[in-house]
Amino acid sequence: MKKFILLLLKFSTALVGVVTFLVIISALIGRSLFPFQIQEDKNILILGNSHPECAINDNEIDGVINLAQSGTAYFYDYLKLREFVNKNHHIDTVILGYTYSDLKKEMDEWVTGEDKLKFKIRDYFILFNSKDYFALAFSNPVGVITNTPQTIFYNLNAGIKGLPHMGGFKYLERNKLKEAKERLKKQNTNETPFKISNYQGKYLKKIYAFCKERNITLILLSTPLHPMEVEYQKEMLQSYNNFASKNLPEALLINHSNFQLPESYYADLDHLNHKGARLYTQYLKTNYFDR
Amino acid sequence: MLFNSLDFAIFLPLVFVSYWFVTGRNLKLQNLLIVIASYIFYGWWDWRFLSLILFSTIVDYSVGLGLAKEKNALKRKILLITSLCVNLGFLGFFKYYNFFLDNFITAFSFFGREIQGNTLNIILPVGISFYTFQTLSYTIDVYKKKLVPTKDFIAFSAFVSFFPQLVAGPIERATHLLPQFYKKRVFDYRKAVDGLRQILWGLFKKVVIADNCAQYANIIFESHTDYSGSTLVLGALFFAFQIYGDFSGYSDIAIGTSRLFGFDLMKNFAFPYFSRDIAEFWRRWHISLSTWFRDYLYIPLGGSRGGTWMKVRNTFIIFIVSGFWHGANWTFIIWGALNAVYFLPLLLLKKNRANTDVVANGKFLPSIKDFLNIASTFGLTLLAWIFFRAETVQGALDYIGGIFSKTLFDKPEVLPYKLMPFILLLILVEWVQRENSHALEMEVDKPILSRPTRWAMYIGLIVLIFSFGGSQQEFIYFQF
Repeated sequence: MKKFILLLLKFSTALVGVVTFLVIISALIGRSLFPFQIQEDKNILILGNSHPECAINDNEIDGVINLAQSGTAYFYDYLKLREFVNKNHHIDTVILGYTYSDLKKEMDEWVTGEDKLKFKIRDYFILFNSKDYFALAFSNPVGVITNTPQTIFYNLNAGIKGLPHMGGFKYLERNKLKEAKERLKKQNTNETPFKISNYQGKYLKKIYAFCKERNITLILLSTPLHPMEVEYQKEMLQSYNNFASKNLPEALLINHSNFQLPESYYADLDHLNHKGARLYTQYLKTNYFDR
Repeated sequence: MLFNSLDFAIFLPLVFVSYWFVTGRNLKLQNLLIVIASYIFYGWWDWRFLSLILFSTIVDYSVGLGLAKEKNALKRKILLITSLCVNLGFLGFFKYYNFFLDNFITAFSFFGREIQGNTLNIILPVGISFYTFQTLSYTIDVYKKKLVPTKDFIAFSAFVSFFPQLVAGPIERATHLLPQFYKKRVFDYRKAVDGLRQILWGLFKKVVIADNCAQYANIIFESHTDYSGSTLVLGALFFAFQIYGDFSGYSDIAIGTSRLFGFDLMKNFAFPYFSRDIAEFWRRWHISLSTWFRDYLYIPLGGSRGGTWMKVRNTFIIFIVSGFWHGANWTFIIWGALNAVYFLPLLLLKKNRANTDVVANGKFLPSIKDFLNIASTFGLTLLAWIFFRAETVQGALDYIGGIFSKTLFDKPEVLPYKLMPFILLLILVEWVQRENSHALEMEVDKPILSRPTRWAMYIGLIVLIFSFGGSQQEFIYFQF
């Protein structure tokens, strides 16, 4: 028995040592291979989750790069922002997705929940420093530890895949509006009182502070939502405005949630499909970027 | 509690340490600990069904004692029937009630009589088919005087509820497992190390192979009308590896875990996809169930001793009952019958024991003949799995119809390149190790690989498990 326990201890030590070594080495290789450098003529960086990811086609607007990705919490946006701005001093404007629901308490799950953690830790691991890692580990120790070994392959993959690994415009063909409406009708509108997410609030403030420190214009953008969704989320509107005016006073808040679009331009209640994206991108181009 | 869960990763070391250190290696305390641990393990799903296990345990324990005392043949038979009724009654109610009711209603309406019947919303207790068969083996063996009934209730409870194999087997015979609860267990270093290796390979099969294959198989089977024939072939292929990885993976973990506690469970899988004919496949697939049916159903029915008609009848009975054991659906019955059809020519031509040795024994590659036999047997199995996986018989027929369409040679719409290397790794390792009892079996004292190589291999597997594990799925066989 003693021999067995000793063997297990030795093996566990070797396992932790080898895995840690491989994780670090692969992260370093992934980082060194990753093309962080953005073209000089692109000075506007778009970050956020699936809302800006599906709404703004950066191929149609000069000077813009969209690195938003579905399921991304502000924690990861902060890591992305820090890395890309530090490596691209020509970025002077950041457009960050900021819709009503981005601040709600349930969004904490996007940082601590196993479902998102599994994918996001491996996608963004090359952006982590030790402080970020321990901050995340503190939020969900078991989830972070068990999901760390998978980063070995994904760190290397990030280096090979390049920018699309971190996000980019998503061309959505689907139109699942009908199903989404049915689902929403079944939901209770007053389920829980609105509370602000700890992690979303904290990292949104960090993003704001980071941009301010570097004289970067921060634009908080709510991309178009379906009118039914706007109605459903109207309770959150006040908190949404209050949070921005109180904590992010110098950020420019653009609320396009009421932007009028035909029904066939939505992928669902929160997202635009490719037709909606084309129209909305044109609108942004004409009314904001070309000016 | 799932074997591939954090709960089990905490539970197992706690039970292991308590078992070897806290109980002071006292046999009775160890058995009691196994009972408590097993009830916790099972209760993690649904504590309400613990009462079923307890009731079954009490009934079979009492029947066993009754059979020991009773000399009167009729009374002994009544005791046996009591046990059969209780155990099969539970199984019948929980598993087959709605199936029989639906089919009676359909049958009556076919003859123009409408009858009313209310199906019940019954939850199937996890593993009921497994522990029912295990306890039945005890009563039947005691009845046949092959086994002396136990007076030790704790040992018997531990035998019925032994957590590594409680919910998905291997279905142990009382003659094999029960005596192990009477003997003092001594920690065996070699057994424990080998057990850990088997657990590791089982986890690889479950988490990397089965759970990933499940994602593709589910998508393809659920929308099979949208896919080309070639994709449907891939769907069946993914399911074949899913069910193998899932069930044999579970068995490996169960056997490996038992070895940590000083128990030997029977082998449940012996690299079945390398079989050269269907008879060999059934000697290598779910061995504990096949042999259970052989010993407690096929042989009592006369086995293959009678005339041709008797052989045909018994073969169909055993395969159909085996199919029905898997689930209350016509798809399982057809799956069983189809296997009987595959098996019958071998039996009638007396070739059912033509391949009892390991394929290409002592060689690295099989002969062309063996290879073609393996491929054709796998093809037949694949076809049968479609019935096993489909929701309805019509769904299975449509699926097969979709395969044999003009799109059979189109480029598949689903090609999971990430998954292919893992399936190839599984095939390669199992092929190389096919003469052993499991894929990572090696001499503990004189291993063929040096320690750094072995450890690198284990660490590699662990990294693969954590890196490429599919989304956690329940074990398929839990539903049976």
